[in-house]
Amino acid sequence: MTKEPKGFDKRMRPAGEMYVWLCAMGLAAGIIMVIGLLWVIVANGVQVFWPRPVYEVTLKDGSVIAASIVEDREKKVAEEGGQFAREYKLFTGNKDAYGRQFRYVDQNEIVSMNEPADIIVGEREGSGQAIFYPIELILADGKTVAADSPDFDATFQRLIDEAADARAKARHIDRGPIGGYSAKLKKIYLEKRLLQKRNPDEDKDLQAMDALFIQITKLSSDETEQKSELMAQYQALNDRGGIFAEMAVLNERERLLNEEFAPLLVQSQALKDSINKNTLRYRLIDGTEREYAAGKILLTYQPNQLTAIDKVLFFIGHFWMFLSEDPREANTEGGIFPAIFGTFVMTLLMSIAVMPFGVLAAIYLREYASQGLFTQAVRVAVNNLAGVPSIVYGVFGLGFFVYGMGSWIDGGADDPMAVASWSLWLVVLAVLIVATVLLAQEDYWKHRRWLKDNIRRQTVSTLSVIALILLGFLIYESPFFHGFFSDRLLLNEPTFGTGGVLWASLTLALMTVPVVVVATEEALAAVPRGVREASLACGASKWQTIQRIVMPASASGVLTGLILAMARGAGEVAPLMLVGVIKYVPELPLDTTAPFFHFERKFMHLGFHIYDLGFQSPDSEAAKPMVFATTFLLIVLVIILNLGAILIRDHLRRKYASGTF
Amino acid sequence: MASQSDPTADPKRFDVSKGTLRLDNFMTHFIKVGGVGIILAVFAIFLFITWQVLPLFESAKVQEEAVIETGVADFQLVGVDEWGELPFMVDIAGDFTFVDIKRVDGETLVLGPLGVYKVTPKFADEVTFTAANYHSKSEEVIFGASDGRYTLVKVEYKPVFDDRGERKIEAKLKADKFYPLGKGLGAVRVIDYYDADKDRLVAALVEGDSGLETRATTFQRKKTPFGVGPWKPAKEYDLTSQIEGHPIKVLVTGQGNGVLVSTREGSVYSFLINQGEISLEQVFQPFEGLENPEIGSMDWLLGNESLVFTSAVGDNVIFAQYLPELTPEEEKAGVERKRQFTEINQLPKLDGPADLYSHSMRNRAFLLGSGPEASIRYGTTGVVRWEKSLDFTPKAGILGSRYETMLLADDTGRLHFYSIHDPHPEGGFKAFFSKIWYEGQNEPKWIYQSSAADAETEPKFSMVPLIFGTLKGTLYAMIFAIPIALLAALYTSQFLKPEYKKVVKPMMEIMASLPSVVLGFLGALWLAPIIDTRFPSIMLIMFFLPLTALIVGYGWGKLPQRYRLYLRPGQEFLIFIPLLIGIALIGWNLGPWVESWAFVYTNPDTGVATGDFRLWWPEHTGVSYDQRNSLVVGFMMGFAVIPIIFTIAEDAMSNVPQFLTSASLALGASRWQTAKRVVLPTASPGMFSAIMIGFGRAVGETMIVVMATGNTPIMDWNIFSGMRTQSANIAVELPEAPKDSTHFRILFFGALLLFVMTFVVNTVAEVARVRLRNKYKTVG
Repeated sequence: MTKEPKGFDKRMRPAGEMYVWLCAMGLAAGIIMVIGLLWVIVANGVQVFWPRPVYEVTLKDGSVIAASIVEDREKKVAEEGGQFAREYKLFTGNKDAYGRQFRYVDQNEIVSMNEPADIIVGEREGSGQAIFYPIELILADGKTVAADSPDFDATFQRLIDEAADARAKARHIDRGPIGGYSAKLKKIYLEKRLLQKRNPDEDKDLQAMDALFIQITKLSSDETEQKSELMAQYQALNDRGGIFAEMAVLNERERLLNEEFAPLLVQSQALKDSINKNTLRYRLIDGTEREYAAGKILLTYQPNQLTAIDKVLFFIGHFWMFLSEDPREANTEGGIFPAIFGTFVMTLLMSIAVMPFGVLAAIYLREYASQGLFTQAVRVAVNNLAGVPSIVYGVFGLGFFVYGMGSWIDGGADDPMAVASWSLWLVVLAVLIVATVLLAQEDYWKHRRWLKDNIRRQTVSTLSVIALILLGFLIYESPFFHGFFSDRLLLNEPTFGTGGVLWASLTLALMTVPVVVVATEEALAAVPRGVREASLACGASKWQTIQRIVMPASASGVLTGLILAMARGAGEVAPLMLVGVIKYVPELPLDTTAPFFHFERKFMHLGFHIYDLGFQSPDSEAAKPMVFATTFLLIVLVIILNLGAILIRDHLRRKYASGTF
Repeated sequence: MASQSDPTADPKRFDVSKGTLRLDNFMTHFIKVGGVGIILAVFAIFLFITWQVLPLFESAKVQEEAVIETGVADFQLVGVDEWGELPFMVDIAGDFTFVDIKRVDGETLVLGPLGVYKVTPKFADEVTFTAANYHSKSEEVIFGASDGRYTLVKVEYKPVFDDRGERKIEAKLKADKFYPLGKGLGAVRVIDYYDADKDRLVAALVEGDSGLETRATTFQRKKTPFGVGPWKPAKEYDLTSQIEGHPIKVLVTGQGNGVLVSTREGSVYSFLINQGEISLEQVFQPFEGLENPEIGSMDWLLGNESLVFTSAVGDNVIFAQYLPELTPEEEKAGVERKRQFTEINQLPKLDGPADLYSHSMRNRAFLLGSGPEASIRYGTTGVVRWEKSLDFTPKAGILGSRYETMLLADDTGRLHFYSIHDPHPEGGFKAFFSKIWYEGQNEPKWIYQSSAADAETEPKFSMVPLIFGTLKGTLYAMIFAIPIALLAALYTSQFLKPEYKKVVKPMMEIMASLPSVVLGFLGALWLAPIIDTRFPSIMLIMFFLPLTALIVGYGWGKLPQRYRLYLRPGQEFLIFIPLLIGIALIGWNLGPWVESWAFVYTNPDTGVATGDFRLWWPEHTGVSYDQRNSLVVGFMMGFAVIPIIFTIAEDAMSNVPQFLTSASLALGASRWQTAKRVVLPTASPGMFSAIMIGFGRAVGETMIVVMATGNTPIMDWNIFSGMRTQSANIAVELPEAPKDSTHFRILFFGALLLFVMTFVVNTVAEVARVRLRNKYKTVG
C-alpha cells in the first residue's frame, strides 16, 4: 500500500525541472548573442567618430611616440611559452613620414604616458591624419607666422577656410559646366574612334591626322613656322575628303569646345593651385620637421583640450561628414555618400519593380485561382523560392538580364530569325491576339450556349499567356532591330550589356517577389470573408470588391511585405557582385545631367562597401574603422526597416483579431 | 408625382452598368494572365539556368562540309593551319601540295582561287626521304633521309588581309640544313624530335650495320645577343642493345629529356637523359595480360604528359607518369621515388589498331582512326565525343588546332573537310562527379581547379569538392545552431511568460535580418582572431554552459517550494543572463591555464615547450590549422540560421492546441513532462521543417563563407581548415569567367545544383509543415 508510483514526489517537486533550465539557457544564450553582436557593431561603429586623446608614449628604448590608442588587446607570445601579454594598437598617423599609420606596442615596454595639451591632429588630403606640433606658416607672399604668435590660430583657420572655399568652387565648376564639357568631349572621341573602326583601311591615316591635330593644338602661337608646316600636312589629309573631311569636322568641333571651356578650365585649375600656395611647417614628436600645403589640411583639432561638449559636437560633425561626403584615400577616409545613395536608388527601383508584380501574383493566387491542389502546390513552390540562395538569382541576373537583355538592347539579337519565318510568326501572333480578343467578348458569347463559359474563359487566359510569351520571343528575335548602342558595342564598350543599377534592381526584385507574394497573400487572407460577401451582396463586381474593400484593408500587410523585401534587398551583396556593384564610382545613378536617370551606370552599395573595404583594401588596418562605421549604418538601416515591418504586422494582427464578424 | 408619370419601374434598373462589367471582365483576365505570367517568369529562372547548363552534357557535332579532289595519292601526312583554310599534304619526295579553301558566305567550302598547287621546299641536298613526321604545335615537318640524316621544314602560315578586308592565308616553306644522326647510318625509318631554345633531341629508328638501330642524338646551339647559332651535334646514344625485340616507334618526351620506344612484342622502353647520361627507367607493357599484347599505336596527348595507346585489336588506354608511394621495405633500402608510367584511363574499344592519330591543341581531345572507323575522344574523362563508320578509309587525318575543324584524307587523295562543334568537351557527368586520375596525380581524385594557366594544363572540374565544402560548412553551422535554436524555441513557446515573448520574438527576428555580409565581416575580422588566440577558452565556455544549466536546474528543483516561489515560472532565463556572463568570464580566464596544461607543443628544434593550441593541433592530428576555419564559419553561419530555426520551431510549438497541454497539466504532469510527452511529439514535423529550412539557408549562404574561410576546395572534415562552398565558388569566379565558356557554364551548373538542393529541401520542409497544420485542424 505504501508503495508509491514511480516519479511521484511527496514534496511536490516537479519532474524534469533541470531540463527547463537547460532550455532557459538556450534562450539566454540566443539573447546574449544578439545583444553581444549588436553591441560589438555599435560600439566599434560609434567609436570611429569619437575623438580620442593623443598620448605621448615613452618607450623603454628611449623613443617617444605620439599616438592615440585604438585597441588594448592581448597577444600570445609563442616564444615565451605561450603566455599572454597585453599590447596597444596605436594610431600614429603621419603615413607620409613613417610609411605606416599603426604601431603595436607591448605594454611592458612603455615607461610613461602623458597627454600633451598643445598637440594637434590634422586631417589632410592625400596622406591621412597627421599628429604634430606646428612651427610656422609660410604664406604665399613669403611672410611667416610663427606658431607662438597670437595670430597663428586665426591665420591657420583662415587658410583652411579659404582652401575649403576654393575646393568647393572648383568642385562646383568641375561637376557643373566642366562635367558637361567632358561628356561632350567624350562623345566626340567616341565618334572619332568609331570613324576609325569603321574604316580599318584608312585607320592609320586617320590616326596620323588625329596626332597632327593634337600636335597643332599643343603648339604655342609663336611657333608659327612649325605650325604652318603641320597645318599644311593636316590640310593635305583633309583634302582627301570623305571620311577625312568628317574627321576634320570632328576636330574642329573639338577645338571649338576646348576654346569655349578653356577659361573655366583655367579658373578651376587656378582655384586648385591656390590650395597649395601656403605651407605649414610642423614638427613631429620625434623632432623631424616636415612641410605640408596648408590648404590641404582639411581640419585640425587639439584632442587633449576638448571639453565634453566639444567632443559631442566633434562626433556629430564627423558623423555628418561620413554621411555626406565622397570617399577619399582609396575609400579608407572621407564619407560614404555614394554608397548610401546607390543603395537607396537600387532599393527604390527594386521596390517599384517588385510591388506591382508581387501584388498581382498574390491577388491571382488568393482571389482568382481555384483553390485546388495545384494552386496549393504553386503556393508552396513560390514560398520555397524565398529560400533559394540569393547567389542563384545573381547568376540568373547575369545570364538573363546582363548578357541576354542587356546585349540585346545594346546590339540586337545575336542570331536573329530570318525575315520570312519571323513574319510568319508575326502573323501567327496576330491571329492569336484576334482570337483572344474575340473570345473575350462577353456580350457576344452570352447568348451562344454551345461554348461553355468557363472553358472559353480558360482559353482566353491560356491564349493570352501564350501570346505574351510569343510576343516577347518575337521582339527578342527581331531581324530589324540592331540595338540602341551598337556604335559603342563596336568599340567594345557595352552600355547595358554589363552590370548596372537597373539589372541589379531587377535581379533583387525577382529575388524578393516571393517575399511580397507571401506577405500580400497573408494580408488578403486575413480580410474576413464577411466583408467580401457584404460587398458582393450589395451588387459590387468582383474587381470592385477587391479594389474598394479587400485592397485597402490589406494595404498595411502589403506594406509589411514591401518593407521586408526592402530590408532583404538592402542587405544583400552576393548577387549584386555579379550584376553591377562596383567599389568606387563618383557618378551617381541619378543626377542633374540629362537624362537624369542613368540606369546603365554601375553603383556603390553599403554591403559591398563592407566587403570591399574589409577584404580587398590594400590597407585593411586603415580601413577597419570605416568598415565598422559602414556596418553600423547598414545595421541601423536594416533594423529600422524590420522593426517597421514588425510593428505594422502586429498592428494588423490586432486589428483583425477583433474585427472578424 | 414623378412615380405617377412613370408607374412601371425600369426593368433594367438592377442591371450593372456595362462599364463596370467590362472593367471586371478585363481585370479578371488581366490578373489571371499577369499572375500566371509572373509565376511562370519566376520559375523560368530554373529553365533558363538549365538551358545554359545543357551544352555541357552534349556530345560533339561533326559534319562533313566538303570533299575536294587533290590527285595526290602517295602522300605521307597532312597538316592544316589554324583557320582550316590552307591544308597541305606531304609526299615522300618532300613535295608539299597545298589546297586553297574558301568559305562562300561563311557557309559552303569551295576550292579557292589558288586551287591545288605543289611547292617543293628548297632542300640543301638532293636526297631520298624515308620517314616524315609532322608536329602541329610548331608547324614543322621532320624528314628522315636514306643516308641517316634529317631535316626540318617549317610551314609558316600568315593571315593576310586584302583590299576589301577579307582574310587570306599565305604559307611559306622554310627548309633547314641536313644534320646527321650518326656515322655510317642507313635509311631513317621512324623519327621524332623535340626542341627548345638551345637544345634539340632527335630519336629515330635507323637502318645500321646490325639491322634496325634505335638512336637518340642531341644537338645544341649557341644563343648570342645577335641571334642563334647553327645546330651542332652534341651527343649520340645507341639504345639498340638495351631493347629486346623489334622497335616500331619512337617518341621524344615533352621536356626533351627522354625517349620512348615501343616494340612489336608489346613493350615500351622509357629512357631518361640526365646530365648527358641516358638510362633505362622503366619497361612496361600497356596491354599486359591481354591475349595479344601487341601495341597498335603510341602517341602523345596535348602537353606531352599522357600517352595514348591502342592495341592490335583496338583496345584504347591512356598512360601517364606518376610518383608511386614506396613500400616500407623500399623506404628502408633508401630507394628514390621515380616517376613511372601507369594506366590512368581506359577508353571504349576500336575495331582494330589505330592507323591515324591527331590531338587537339586546345584540350585533351584526340582523333583516332581504324579502318573506316573514326572517333574523337576526350583523354581526361575517357569519353567518346563522336564516332562514325565512314564510307571511305582515311589514310591520314588531323584536327584543326582550334578544335573546330577536322581533315581526313583517303587513299585516293581526296580531302574530306569536317566542322566540329564541341565547345565543352571537358563536361559531362563523369567529369563532374567521378574520381578522375589527372596528369601528375598519384591516384584518381575529385579535384576542382578551374584556373588552368594555359591549354596544356588540364582543367579540373569536379563538383564533388564544392558539394563537400557546402555540406561541411552547413554541418558545422547546424551543430552549433540546432541545440540553441530548439531549446530557445521550446522555452519561449512553453515556459516563458507571455509578456516577455513580445520582446523576445522580434529580437530573434531582427537577428534573422542581419545582412550576411556583416556576419561574414565580423566572423573574419573580429571572431577569427579571438578564436585563434582563445580556442581553449571558447571550448571551456561551450562545455560549462549546459553543465551549469543542468546543475543549477537540478539544485533549484531540490529546493523547498517556498524558496522556489520567489522566482515565477518563465523567468528562469533572466537569472541566466548574468550567470552566463559569469561562466563566460570564468571559462575565458581558465582557458590559457588549460591550454598550457593540455595542449603543449614542444618545438623539435629548440626543445621549448609551449602551451599553444594552434601548434598542438597540427602536431597531434596531422591536419592543418588555419585562422579562418570551419569553426568560424560554423559560428557565424549559426548566427544566420538560429533565428530561422527558432522562429519556425517556435511557431510550430505554440500552435500545439492548448487543450492538449492543459489536459496534460491537469492530469498532474509537470511542465517539463508536458513539454516532452505532449508538445514535442505533436510539433516534431514543425521542428523538422524548421531544421530543413535552416539547412537550406546555410547551404546557400554566400558572403559569410567567402569572407570567413580561405576558400580552398579541399576535402577533409577537419574543423580547423577552411572549405570552398558552391555559392562562394560562384561569387568568386563568375565575375571573371568569360561568357559561354566551359567555366561559365560550370558555374551555372553549380547554381543549378544549389537551386535544386535548396528547392527540394524547402519543399520537404513545407510539406511537413502543411501536414502538421492539417493535423491540428482535425484535432481541433
